[in-house]
Amino acid sequence: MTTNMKFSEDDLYTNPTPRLPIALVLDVSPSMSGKEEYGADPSIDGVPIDLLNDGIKSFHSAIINNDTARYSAEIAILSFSSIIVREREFKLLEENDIPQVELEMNVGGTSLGKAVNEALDMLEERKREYKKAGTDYYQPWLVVMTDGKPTDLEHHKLKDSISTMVSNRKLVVFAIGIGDGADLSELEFISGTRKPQKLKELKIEEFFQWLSSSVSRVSASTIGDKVQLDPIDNWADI
Amino acid sequence: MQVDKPCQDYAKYDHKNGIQVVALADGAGSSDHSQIGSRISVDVVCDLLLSRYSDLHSLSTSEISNTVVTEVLAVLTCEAEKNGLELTDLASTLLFAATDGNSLLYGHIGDGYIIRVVGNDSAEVLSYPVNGEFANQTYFVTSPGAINLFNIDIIPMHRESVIFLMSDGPSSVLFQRRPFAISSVFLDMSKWISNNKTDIAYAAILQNFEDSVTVRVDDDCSLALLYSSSIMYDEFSDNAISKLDESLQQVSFSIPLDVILDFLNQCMLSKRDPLKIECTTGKVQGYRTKNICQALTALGMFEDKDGNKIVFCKASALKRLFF
Repeated sequence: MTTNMKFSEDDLYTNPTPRLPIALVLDVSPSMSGKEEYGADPSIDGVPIDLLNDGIKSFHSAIINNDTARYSAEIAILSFSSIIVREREFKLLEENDIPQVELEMNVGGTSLGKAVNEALDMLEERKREYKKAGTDYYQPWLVVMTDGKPTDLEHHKLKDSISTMVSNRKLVVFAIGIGDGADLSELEFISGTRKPQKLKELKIEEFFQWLSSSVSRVSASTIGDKVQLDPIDNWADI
Repeated sequence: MQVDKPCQDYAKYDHKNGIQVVALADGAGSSDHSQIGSRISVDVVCDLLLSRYSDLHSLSTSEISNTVVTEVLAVLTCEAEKNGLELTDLASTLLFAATDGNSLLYGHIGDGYIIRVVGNDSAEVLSYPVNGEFANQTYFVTSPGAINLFNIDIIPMHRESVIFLMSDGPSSVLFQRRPFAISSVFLDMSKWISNNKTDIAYAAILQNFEDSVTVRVDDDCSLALLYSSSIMYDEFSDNAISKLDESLQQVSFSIPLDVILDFLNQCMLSKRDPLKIECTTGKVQGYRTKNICQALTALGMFEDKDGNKIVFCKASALKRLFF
């Protein structure tokens, strides 16, 4: 090969890594304080909100340490009680950017439906932004974690639309019940075809480890791949 | 890099009775057997195009699509049944291009690109990838409705043009998504092919892919190409070239052999009067066409009509150069 028969590095492109948008919808109602007077499940050993934050921390660490997942997973966080707060818009995780959520002790209630609805809006909005920027993306993920029963019926209205999205492979939902007080039958309204799962002995950290491993699998997948996730028996009460 | 899986891309070049074909397929990552599917799809479409190019040429694009998909699925179904597999286990994308020297018939389903460079001037997309909404979704020859998803066309095959087929692996480095742009390395490759013997151009392209493309991609990388100038020096048979050399020496002809071959190449590609071929390009530069033509007339490759009009005898030249 002659020396002038060489591609110029300037003529090769680096396109953005395909993104995996993940909306974490987290219950921060007073019962997550672990205090019985706020309706917490007495069987739970530990403070759920602390365990939740530990889990997020572990999730952050696992994603940051995986080069493919790190430049693919965009995390947004919505906290909810009877009010919904956008704690974090979709963005990649940074080294010192460990998302955390705080209890909302001033208002009670568990407005699951409103929170999920808002998360779906955020995911749609993000997809529009990806399209506009020419960035490829994977099926969006919706991760919902709650320890109680919804205090309204808004989530019932979402059953058909979420089921359709999940069946058509437009959305992946992980609906997680924390503790024995979580009503899985209510979570079924927002979980589509994938059954809601109850955490085994509050293994929130194990769940987030599994979630990060699943993110790595999806973000490393290429055209035509059908991603097989790890078994869930490490954290789910099945 | 998925080191735990075999290469699922497969590409092939073949030719028969003046038809040349390239085809390339990228097996579905979700299947453990898609490397078999990609090989079968490529083999079937190559055989089909080589044996029935003229028939296909007279069909509409939807009829061609129907024929291609039907033929490929018939063999894939047979293979799946023989090995206890599902048809989807053999899923792959499929890209092909075939030419008879005058027309180009190309087809494409799924990811990857088909690119054309004419005269080393500019690269254009003949076929874009057709994917699903999400990054890991595309269409395969086994997908429902594949017949309608195939992008098929028949266009003129320009002289001095190169057709590139590639899988999605190299596409991620050779195209900019937004704003859309095609890498100028296609022009580089086209020039290397035009100006060098095939083995030299091939080695350069392969080396550049290994050095600069595959290292940036976590996927199989495949590139297949067709060059329209079907008559190239290294396709003239060695035996014919040495006989021509001997003959030229016998007539005491002093112009170098490679200049003669370059000139003959231009004569074959041109419909113009050979005396009007300008000796201003390539190796012929600086030589008088009349002198070359006169020498070759003695060998029967040109005919001197009425003492002043020299005509290129293509059939005679082809016979001397290829047999």
